[in-house]
Amino acid sequence: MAAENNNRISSFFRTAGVQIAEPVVFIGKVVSQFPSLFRKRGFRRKEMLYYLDLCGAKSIPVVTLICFLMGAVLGIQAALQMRKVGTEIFVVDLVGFSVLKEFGPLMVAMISTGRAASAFAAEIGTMKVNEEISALETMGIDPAAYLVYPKLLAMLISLPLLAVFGDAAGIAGGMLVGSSLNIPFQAYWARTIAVLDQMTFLLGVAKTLVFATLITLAGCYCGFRASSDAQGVGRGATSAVVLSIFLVVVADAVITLLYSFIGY
Amino acid sequence: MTNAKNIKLEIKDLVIGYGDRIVLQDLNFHVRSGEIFCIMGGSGCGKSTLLKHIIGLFRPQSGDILISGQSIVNATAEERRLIMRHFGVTYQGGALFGSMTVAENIALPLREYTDKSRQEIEEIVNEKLELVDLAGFGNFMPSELSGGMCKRAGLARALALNPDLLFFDEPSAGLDPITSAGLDRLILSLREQFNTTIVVVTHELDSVFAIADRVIMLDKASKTIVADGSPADLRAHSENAWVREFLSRDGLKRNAGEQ
Amino acid sequence: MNEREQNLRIGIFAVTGLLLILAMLFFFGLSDIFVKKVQLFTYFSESVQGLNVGSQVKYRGVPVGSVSQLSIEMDSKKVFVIMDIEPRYFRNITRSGDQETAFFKMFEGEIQNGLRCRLEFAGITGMKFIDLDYFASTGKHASAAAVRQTYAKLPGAHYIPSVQSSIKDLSGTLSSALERFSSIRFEDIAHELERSLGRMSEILSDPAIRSAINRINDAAEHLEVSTSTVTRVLDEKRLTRLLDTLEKDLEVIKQLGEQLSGITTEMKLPESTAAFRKALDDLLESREDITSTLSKFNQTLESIRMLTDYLGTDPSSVIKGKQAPGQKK
Repeated sequence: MAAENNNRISSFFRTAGVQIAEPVVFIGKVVSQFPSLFRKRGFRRKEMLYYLDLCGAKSIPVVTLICFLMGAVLGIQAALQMRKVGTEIFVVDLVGFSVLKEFGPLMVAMISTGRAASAFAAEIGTMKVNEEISALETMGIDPAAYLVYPKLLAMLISLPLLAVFGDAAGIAGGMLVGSSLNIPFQAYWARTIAVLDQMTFLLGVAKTLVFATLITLAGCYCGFRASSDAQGVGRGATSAVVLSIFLVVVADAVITLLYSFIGY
Repeated sequence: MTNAKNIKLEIKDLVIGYGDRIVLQDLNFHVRSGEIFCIMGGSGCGKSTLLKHIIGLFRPQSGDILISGQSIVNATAEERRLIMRHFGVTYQGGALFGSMTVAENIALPLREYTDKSRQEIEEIVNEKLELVDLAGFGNFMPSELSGGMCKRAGLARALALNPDLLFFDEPSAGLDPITSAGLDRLILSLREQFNTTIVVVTHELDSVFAIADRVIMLDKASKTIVADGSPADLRAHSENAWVREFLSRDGLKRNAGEQ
Repeated sequence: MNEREQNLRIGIFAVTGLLLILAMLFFFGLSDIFVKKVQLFTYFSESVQGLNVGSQVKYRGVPVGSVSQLSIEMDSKKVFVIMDIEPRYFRNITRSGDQETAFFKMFEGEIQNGLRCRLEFAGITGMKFIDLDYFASTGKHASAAAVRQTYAKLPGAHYIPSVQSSIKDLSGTLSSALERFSSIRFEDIAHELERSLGRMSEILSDPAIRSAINRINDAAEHLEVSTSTVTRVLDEKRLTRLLDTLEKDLEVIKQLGEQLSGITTEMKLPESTAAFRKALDDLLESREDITSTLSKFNQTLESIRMLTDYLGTDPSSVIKGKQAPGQKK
């Protein structure tokens, strides 16, 4: 009995250790395969284009719509409060900075967790069920690198671009609300380009590079970890979304903190 | 044991399992060059697990696996990849990459490991497709193929690099008897044409008797090999009653009836 | 073909994305690169709370630029401000030459004429902007040449002196007023007042005054009698008979008048009576009778003074006065 308890405790610690170590091992695997990207034919262009289409181009409508509405909602809420003290023109500042710094990048990341992270996890999980992962391995191809890098690159390209779409849509949303709340279009636009600077814009967009990496890694990791059955694939996709959202929000907090050190 | 040159695959004192659970132990066998070798056993005895260890997907708990004299267990990651290029594996469902066409699937190892031009690769792909009776299906997506075709396409991919050792995981599972027999003929013709060493994991008796030179039988209870020899010989003369029953249709039927 | 569609989508995605990036970079600041700017700098000795990098700089209300740098001089502890001014806001119709030199030419002239910069509040938010304009209180400031020698060498930048913001000005005025106010010696004034009042009461209680008052009373009565007599005499036309008496009376009155006018001038009565009355009310409660006397005395004095003035200038007016009723004849 005591021995069994002992066993259980030790196995608990072993699994806990494995759970912490596993993602790190996974990241190590991916990073160690980085040089293979520069090998001849080491990169799968076609796959990358597929994901660029899936996670980037096809996400434009939803990203634009959500960010537009986000900007409009922000504008309404800000205007309602600022109207009390007669400072409606600062709605422009609030919407502009919020969208550029947070909502643009964050909304894009959130949409991508839904679209990309779950898709990655499900895809890799299914490949595992079909023994495609094993096939890759026995072909002498490292599946982690082979499957992760095209996705990663596609995400690293598409998320910043999507964030730009989101930024533009968000500001447009604020502008629409502003024009219906006695801030003329010209005044809104003039104020927007006066207060917003390219550094804020670029730093906001740069955030999405971190988000893209986290979402891709989380999605792929959950796919690789999923158990090899239909339910396992479903669970893997779910946990990929949950893990990505968690990581994105934590990373956003950390980045915001880091940005505050350099004054943004 | 015959001379070392002839031995393609050698398993020494192998113990495999997951965590604390031992699946199989005391495994000692070898496969000669040009031989068709079957690994048999009841469901859940660990034959697929054993295969995954042999092809280097899993690490055994102890013991050694030598492929053409090189240990796949103690190899570094890079060395293991090199060893892996010298054998082909055909998976149960074919394991074709769903995002690529059949031709692209077959071309993948060629693109990865050879400096062949696009033209040459195309020629090899067509040749392999012809070999597995899939000529003209190169531009099909795997999802558009039937189960048997997927398996054959998988075989074509496994053959792409002209390996001298081939592993089959349950080649006839899920196939009708005629397709299954066709696959058996394909395996035999491969050996005839290329003198390929072939290791098959299966429990299809018809296949075993049709193709196998030698079989080993794994037992779930004793977690080890209970028989080693040619199938006909074992069916007739095995000391183990369970082996004889397994290899005869009666035995199989009775076993099924018990469950 | 599916692949073609995919490539088309990716192409649209990439192209519009890149265009958007370029547009945003352009509008959010890169456009500034293409706008010509000149630099002005100044020092503020007051706190610039509410001023930030990017705060507006207005020239007579027109936003012509922004603050580009804020720092503190180590030696003087003054706040050093660099402003980026866009000369394109200054339209050049008559002047020739390029915008920048034209601007600086105009600018130098403006500073000579007293153009200064000052911190102003922008709305109620506490944010500030820098206003370039002519201000009433120019304050003291180092000359542009001196500043250029003492402070940082900013090639191409021009110095504009600053004046204290109106808030700072107001508080300065207020504090100096308070300072002056506090320098008034209220205690000394009170002492002085007390002493004067004491002397006043001394003078009033002087027996000489008392007798003078009595004599004035008598004289007044006498005069009253005399005038009534005069009237009667005039009425009865016995003028000549009474001439002697009158002559005598006149003499007495003249004497009295001189005496009184001496007293009155000495006491500066017209100016002081009100103050005296007040002081007496407060300080001499013990001598309530004086108050009533004083009022009478006042009245009497007033009439006497008038009379004496009258008589002093033309004693014979008494006779003319006699004649006045005679005019009725």
